Amino acid sequence: MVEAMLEPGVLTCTKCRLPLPPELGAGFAPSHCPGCGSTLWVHVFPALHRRLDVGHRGESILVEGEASCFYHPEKRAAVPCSRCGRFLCQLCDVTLGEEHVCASCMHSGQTKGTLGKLQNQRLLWDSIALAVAIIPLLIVTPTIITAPIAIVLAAISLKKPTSILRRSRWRSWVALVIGLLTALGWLAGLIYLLIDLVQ
Amino acid sequence: MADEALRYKKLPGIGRRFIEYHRLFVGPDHLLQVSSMFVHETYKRFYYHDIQAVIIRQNNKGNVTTAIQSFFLLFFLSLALATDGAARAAMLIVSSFFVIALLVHLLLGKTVSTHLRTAVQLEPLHSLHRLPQARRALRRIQPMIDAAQPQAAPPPESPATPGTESAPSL
Repeated sequence: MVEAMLEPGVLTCTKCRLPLPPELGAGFAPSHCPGCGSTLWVHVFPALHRRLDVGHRGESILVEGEASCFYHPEKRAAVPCSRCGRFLCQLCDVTLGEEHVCASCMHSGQTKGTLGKLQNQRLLWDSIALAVAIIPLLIVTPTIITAPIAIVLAAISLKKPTSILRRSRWRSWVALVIGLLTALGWLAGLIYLLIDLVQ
Repeated sequence: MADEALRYKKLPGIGRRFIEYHRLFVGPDHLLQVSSMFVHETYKRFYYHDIQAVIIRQNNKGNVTTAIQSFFLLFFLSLALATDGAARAAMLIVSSFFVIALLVHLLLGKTVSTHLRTAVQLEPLHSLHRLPQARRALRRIQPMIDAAQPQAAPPPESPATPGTESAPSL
């Protein structure tokens, strides 16, 4: 079913999965699926009919002493990795825009977040800090515990990357301020109680 | 990070599925779909030179919503007719909310399911669930896709693609 859906050059209806006639794709004029009759607006781009690139296996070493691939000693090195400097054959070369990286650097770049283009998820520490700072205020009593936690989380969030869509860290600062004020409030209350007890 | 955020412009529409909501953004060389759940975000990038087609299909959600809102409207209107005084006024007020909701729903346009196709996936774009929204989004991204996919030029290298070369011409 998946193979039929993604057959090169053939579009399928997203409801009944039947192939659509090639004449569909005339922009914004509606058309109908011949299978289920659904009204469709199909917009096709040249990539649909583009031939897929052929992968290169890498060339074998013909002359002794030639630089070889770090991961395939029998294959000739084509490019060095932009990150670690290891020699890579054409099979191991991963192109990221202008960079050539090895699979190992690509994996570590993705997991550590140093390769922004490959990062596909993020935990929003600033939102967590803000939630921990604000939500317990509804009940008040838990804030004696959550206020210091909010301060710590806000400090952590200032070091961690935030959403790739966000331009500022106001959430972290607001969480920090609210956490500090709440903690100071509790501290003041405790000091007042102590003074009262002593007197 | 601020430079990263400045690169993205939001497309119209927000899609919600259970506790997750989806948004679409236009980047310099790719489309970015962001799925957000509380404090976690997931990103999917669709590079313009990889996009093969955008398929918009009308679905029945609009008809179902119209039917449900109409039912409640008629229900409260009939209650208003069957009562008088303060009860009638209250029923009429409730009916007016349903009238407004129904009008807004009809004005927003037909409900659709939008899918984006590449060589390896057929990805639903949950944020484009109304036809006018989907058309506006498509009008914004089409020039960028056309620029990345010239008609007669050989295919450009894709990011994160193992070392490749074009198939030899025959």
